[in-house]
Amino acid sequence: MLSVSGLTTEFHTRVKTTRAIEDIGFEVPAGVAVGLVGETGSGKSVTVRSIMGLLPTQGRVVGGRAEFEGADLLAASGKELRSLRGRRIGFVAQNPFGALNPILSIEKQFANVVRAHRKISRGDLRDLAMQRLESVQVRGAERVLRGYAHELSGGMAQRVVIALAMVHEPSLVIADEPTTALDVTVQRQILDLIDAQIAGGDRSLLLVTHDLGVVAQYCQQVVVMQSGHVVESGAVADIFTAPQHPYTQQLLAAIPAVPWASEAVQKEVPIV
Amino acid sequence: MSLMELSGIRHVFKQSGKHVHAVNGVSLSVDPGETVAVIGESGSGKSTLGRVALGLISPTEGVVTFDGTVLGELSKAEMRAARASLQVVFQEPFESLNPRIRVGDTVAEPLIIHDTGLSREERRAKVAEVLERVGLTAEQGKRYPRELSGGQQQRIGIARAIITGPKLIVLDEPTSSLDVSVRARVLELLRDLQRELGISYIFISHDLATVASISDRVAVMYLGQIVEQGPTQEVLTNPKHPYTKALMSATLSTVVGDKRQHVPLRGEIPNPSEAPTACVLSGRCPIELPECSLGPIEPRRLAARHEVACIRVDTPLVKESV
Repeated sequence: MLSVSGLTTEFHTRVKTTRAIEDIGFEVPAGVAVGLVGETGSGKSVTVRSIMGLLPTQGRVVGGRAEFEGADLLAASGKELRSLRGRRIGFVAQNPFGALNPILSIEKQFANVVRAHRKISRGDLRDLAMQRLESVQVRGAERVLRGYAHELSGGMAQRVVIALAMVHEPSLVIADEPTTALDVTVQRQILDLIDAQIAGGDRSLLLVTHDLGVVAQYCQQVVVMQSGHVVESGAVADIFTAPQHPYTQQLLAAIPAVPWASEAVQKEVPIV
Repeated sequence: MSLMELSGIRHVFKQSGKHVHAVNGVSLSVDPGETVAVIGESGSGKSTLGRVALGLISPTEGVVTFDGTVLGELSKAEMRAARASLQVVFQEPFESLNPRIRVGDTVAEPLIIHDTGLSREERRAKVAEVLERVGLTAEQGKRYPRELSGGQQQRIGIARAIITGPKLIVLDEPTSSLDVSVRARVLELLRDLQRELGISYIFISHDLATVASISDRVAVMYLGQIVEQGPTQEVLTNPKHPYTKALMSATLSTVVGDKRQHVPLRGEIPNPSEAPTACVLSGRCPIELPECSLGPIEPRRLAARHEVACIRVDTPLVKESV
């Protein structure tokens, strides 16, 4: 599905050049959720932004390939990239209020996203938007469509962003810390929602996160990054039970265990 | 006798004409050498409660007793003196340090403010000693905040808090902005300091795993109220309030093969200005009864120090049909 190899990105300022990521390689197979984990400064966001062609102006990809549906995203022209982004690749950012336009109604934003790739009548657009919002469990979809981002809670806004990302049925979804800005009880709702959107099909997910619990519970494969390099990657089941790299071992050991917590609640709260 | 006693604390902010009950009738005590965690999501009022405990906010209602004195009755000068034994560490270490002052001088500042009568040389020696105590070198004390990592900055925040020999430190999300590996080491430092110096902590956090690893007792806050409090182990092995259970089921295990649990709450935490006047969880609770919305739910004592504000404590949560 997505195959990244040798990806190297540098940031240029007047005084110096910094290599942010070097020789990054990993695969996102069809129908698989891959977690990209690392701490602050590990380069996970730069990796995603390089792939998406969304680097800030000082950033430049200096090498590597990112193959997706027969094209190299890193070599693609602006026009080619625009035709893939939003249509074949859905993107969910960390901050939904940064992703939504504050001065356009939600309906107008659906129109912009849909019409960027195909013609659609006003009535069909409204039906499509309604159906998409309902599929992400937005209650009162009609009212939400008429309204603006600031009227939504964080969880609702992130649902709208997910609905927008899914509107063209992309085969790959890239989510960059999609729940970091949300409260814990809402985080789970959003993760379950993303999970449901990719479950049971060929759709793939690249989930960027610093939360190893999210990876353990929602991903089948994991790529661990540290200071701009991939230090370990493979199946979640293998790496979480027997991490090979010292950094991965250290990361897993650093999480305080709550052994009694899950047992206690499992007695009464059903498993999904 | 407890070191700090918060009783019947209520604090109301006025926000564009509306009254927001940030803290709505909270009672909590902290014993000497004890860590009491206050856990809750954003908007639960946990930080406001921390500020009330520090005397930074005078509550609209209620009394804060610290070390035998009532904070609200102290004069400005007396309050300032009391602050030597009542310190704080903030969430954002960088934001809480002056970027233009060497961190060693920041650590020395409480010694000057509290008029300890130490000479310059004695202060310098004291700073070096405290820096070493938190795992930094005297050399690092000569640096500016931006030259230190997040974890080192937070160690400076801790050094500044302990230099006056406090009895209680309010830690407001002290590890939330730190990466996991750094977080574990800062928590270890806090535990060591408590063991050696006998300091009490009020540990404000939104993270269950952190709370589980550091606290003796825990108070779960939701919309300005404590819905459940008790010994940490007791509350986490035998949670009684639906909100506590929801918080726990929302926490993801890092053990592969553990099953994800259903989060038995509907919707999101309401805006505090629109908080229900009855049970704070009404509207989101899976086991709500009509009488739950009749009036406020008073905390009930279940066991020694285990209190729950719910009239259906023994009702299991059933999965709502979607």
